[in-house]
Amino acid sequence: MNLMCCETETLKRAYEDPVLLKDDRVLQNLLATEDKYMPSPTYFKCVQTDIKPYMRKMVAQWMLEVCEEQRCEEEVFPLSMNYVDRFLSVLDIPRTRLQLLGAVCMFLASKLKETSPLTAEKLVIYTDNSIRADELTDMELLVLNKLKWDISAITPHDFLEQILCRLSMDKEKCDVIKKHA
Amino acid sequence: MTSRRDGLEQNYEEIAVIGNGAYGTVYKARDLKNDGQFVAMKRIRIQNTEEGMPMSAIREIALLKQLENYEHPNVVRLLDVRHTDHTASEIRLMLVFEYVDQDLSTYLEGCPPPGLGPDRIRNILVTSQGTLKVADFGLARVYGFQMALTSVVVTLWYRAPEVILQAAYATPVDIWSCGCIFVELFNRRPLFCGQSDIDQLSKIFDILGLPPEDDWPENVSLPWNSFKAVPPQPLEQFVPEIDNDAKDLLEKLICFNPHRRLSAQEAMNHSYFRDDLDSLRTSSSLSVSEGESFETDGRSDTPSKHGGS
Repeated sequence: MNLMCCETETLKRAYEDPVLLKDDRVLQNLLATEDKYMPSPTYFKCVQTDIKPYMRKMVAQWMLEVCEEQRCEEEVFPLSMNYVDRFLSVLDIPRTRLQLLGAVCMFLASKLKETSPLTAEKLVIYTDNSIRADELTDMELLVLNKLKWDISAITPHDFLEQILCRLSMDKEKCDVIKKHA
Repeated sequence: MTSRRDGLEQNYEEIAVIGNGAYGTVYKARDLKNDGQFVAMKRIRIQNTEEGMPMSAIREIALLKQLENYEHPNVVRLLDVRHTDHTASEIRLMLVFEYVDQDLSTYLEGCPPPGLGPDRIRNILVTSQGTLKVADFGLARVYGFQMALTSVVVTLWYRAPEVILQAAYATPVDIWSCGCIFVELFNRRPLFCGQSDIDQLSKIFDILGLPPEDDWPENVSLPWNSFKAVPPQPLEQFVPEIDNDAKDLLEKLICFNPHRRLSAQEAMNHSYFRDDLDSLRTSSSLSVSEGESFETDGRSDTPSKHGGS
């Protein structure tokens, strides 16, 4: 969330902001907006001709590994899965392009959420060089166009703090929940 | 795939060029898919890099798209975004916005307030019904790398002390900026014009006084005692035209401790705005959109509170 231009080595985090947590309008907006970012639940049947659910699972596991190994911000993985599902809801692609799609979605989510995002080079290496950097950037434009640039999506992760602060639970328990979320 | 056009060119018919800048060109156009209604079409060029689409463009446009969900009456609608073309060095984007007839400069034609040059108000539009709309939210950063340097300096004057001190920060930073701009509306010049981070803090403390040590944020590299202990100065000394209501509001907007600064909603409910709205409604052609915190209590016409002529 580093919007200003202070180039510091240590990552400063925003503190828990009562303006955002104590105001019910925020939660209501999240609930009202969430629908707009929902993928189609039937895309395996209605859109995809080659890709099967188990392939999505495989690419999701690979993406989670990359995000964990690169210590990405927690929201990067759920956000990139949101892009994968929404893209697959609108365009039929062959299985050979699925890993490229997964890489691009992490690329985008990371640029949206992180101060030092995943680089194209790293992502290419994680695919064992099965994709090229120029394929990644070309696909990035296609994904942005297909998602209509609407990539500041609401994910389950956004509700976590909002719900936790409304439960009367001690801080330790909250931390445990956040860790396992 | 280098030249995807998605039939975009057929959707919009350009009528006239209405703006030109380093970033690209703005056209007035017709949206042929929507009964030929007018739109503002911005063709912008973005530097392409090995990392693809720049982070700033992704963030600003994604944020604008998310804002669309709320259909805020005072924010210009972003109707469409497409990338039209790209090469190894450049990405061309087209952003389609709701068309608004005039910017604030045109609206105030003949009587621009002193100190507010046309450059300053180009991003505020006024519809024919007199509704204000903010345009180009942070899109300046999308437009270009050539702007990066100057914007760093300019925003410093409006930057909250906790940001300069590199402490943790949150929404109160925007309230601080609003306070600085509030003063500028009275004075027609900025309040804290620092030349560097340290100078900016000194200029803030010269007016607000050095805050008590308890208010100093934790874990910051600049210690509290590196600044001279100076007492707070009466604000009206720096904002001669301010009245008591406005002064009370200002003190709560530029409060050093971010936890004690007003929230946006609290500020909207401050008595300064309540009186002000009454007089606006009855004495000016500007209409302000109805919002939940905007109820008036039906008092009779009071003279405008803004001392500035």
